Amino acid sequence: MKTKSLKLALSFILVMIVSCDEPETVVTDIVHPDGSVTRRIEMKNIENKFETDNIQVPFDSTWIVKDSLEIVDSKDTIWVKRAEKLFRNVDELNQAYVADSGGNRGIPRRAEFNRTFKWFNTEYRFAEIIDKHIENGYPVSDFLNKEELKWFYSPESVIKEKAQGPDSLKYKALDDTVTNKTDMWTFKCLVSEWTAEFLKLTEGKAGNDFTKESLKAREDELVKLLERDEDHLDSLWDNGIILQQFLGEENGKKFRIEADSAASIAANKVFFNFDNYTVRIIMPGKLIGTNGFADSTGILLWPVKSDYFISDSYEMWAESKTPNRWAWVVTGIFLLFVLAGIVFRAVRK
Amino acid sequence: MPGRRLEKCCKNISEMDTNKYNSVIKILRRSKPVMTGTDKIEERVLNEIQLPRKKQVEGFTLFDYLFGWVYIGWIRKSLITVSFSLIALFIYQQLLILKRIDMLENQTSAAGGQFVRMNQADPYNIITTDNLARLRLKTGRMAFDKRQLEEMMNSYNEMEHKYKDLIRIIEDDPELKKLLEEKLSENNKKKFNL
Repeated sequence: MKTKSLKLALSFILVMIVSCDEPETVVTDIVHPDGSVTRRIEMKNIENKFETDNIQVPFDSTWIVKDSLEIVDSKDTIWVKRAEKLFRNVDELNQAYVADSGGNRGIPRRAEFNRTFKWFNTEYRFAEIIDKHIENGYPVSDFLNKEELKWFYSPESVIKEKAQGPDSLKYKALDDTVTNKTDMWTFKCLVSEWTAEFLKLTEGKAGNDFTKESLKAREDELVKLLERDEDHLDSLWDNGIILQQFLGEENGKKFRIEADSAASIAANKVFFNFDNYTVRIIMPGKLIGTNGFADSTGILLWPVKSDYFISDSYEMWAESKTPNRWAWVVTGIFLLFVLAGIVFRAVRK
Repeated sequence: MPGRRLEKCCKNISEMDTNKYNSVIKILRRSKPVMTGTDKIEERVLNEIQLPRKKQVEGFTLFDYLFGWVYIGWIRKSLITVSFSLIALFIYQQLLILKRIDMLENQTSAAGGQFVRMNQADPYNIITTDNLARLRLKTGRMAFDKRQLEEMMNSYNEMEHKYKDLIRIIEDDPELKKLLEEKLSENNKKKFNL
């Protein structure tokens, strides 16, 4: 089996990620009370080149499309493709996700819609969910505190605006802290996934005395080794030094191929190819809850980045309610009727 | 003497009348009238007698029908319990919604700036049917963020400035001016033809 260093694998994947020709995309889901969803996609690109393979969300010829050439704030001209389609329900939207042949194909995404009748009000819940990409990772909340988590999930423009506005030093420091901590988290996820893959590949092989518990307990040790030798990671991994330090000289040599393969698989899982985009949701009625960013007009926004669903599912949800006027009237009449009955009884007495 | 005779005469006459009267009455009593439609008369009389009572009974039935349940203990108690439950449910739901909206507003104020800017740069995304409804255009009211308004004013000023620049450039360049005038007159002709 061809050996490949961890860093080389990571570099290759990263190069693959940045070299894509994907447009800047904003997806707006307009949720209707009957559960249908009007989806609008706005794609911006410096060229009039919008290949279906590069578009971040499901898109095909059945969409109503409008192209235009626009001038942005920086006086540059950009091509904008706007597409719109009505999905009768979330199942239809989910089918589109399953059949997606775009830039993010293979990433399990789905939408959920719930309508709950609560007599005086009807409540709606709409969610876009992206399932976690690795099974053996750690939640990012184990590494970041509340404020750091908020920063981590903030849209890019909020981060930029805060970093350039008042208290910029404070926000720059916060940004650095979050970057360092998320690097550590990514490392930990990578090691955890490597451990699981390594166990799978070495299972049943002669001289294998590794157990899940023993390797899991030593994950921090491997992370420290990788961190310590970060600058020479390539050569140290290629020469099997890190592996020998971690598994012992004999095991390091014996399971070298399995370790390299596990590293490659883990790296592919953690540093997967995903084109970022932005999701916006417009709910029916009055907005009552969300985990996204909302403005005074009730438009909600979530950035969608690969980091958000490495080890946790990323759920973008919003809840709203519409009053059931008829229920209010029926209740009013009923209360009046009961009150009149009580008054009638008192008069008759 | 003649007075006595007259008195006696009158007495005789009255006696005779009385006798006649009595005999007529006797004859009338003997000959009873033949009654036709006795059933109808009876029904009419009965109706006339019973009418006020019927009216009273009808009034009582309507109220009794509507509020008869107040005399049945378990129905009365159940309906009162349901009423209180509905009131409690209403209060609970409204309080819960107010609490959630309050939480949401705090969340909004923390991140509001970002979206105003995004919307401003992207009119297509603001002007959607749903957003228009949200902005309450139907009622003649529109909710504007202060920042959004400021950016709109800045944008307007910038546009006005550019417009002045454009006019100056055209004025300074006779060829450009001539070309534009020709284009404008062509456009006007087209409009006229239409």
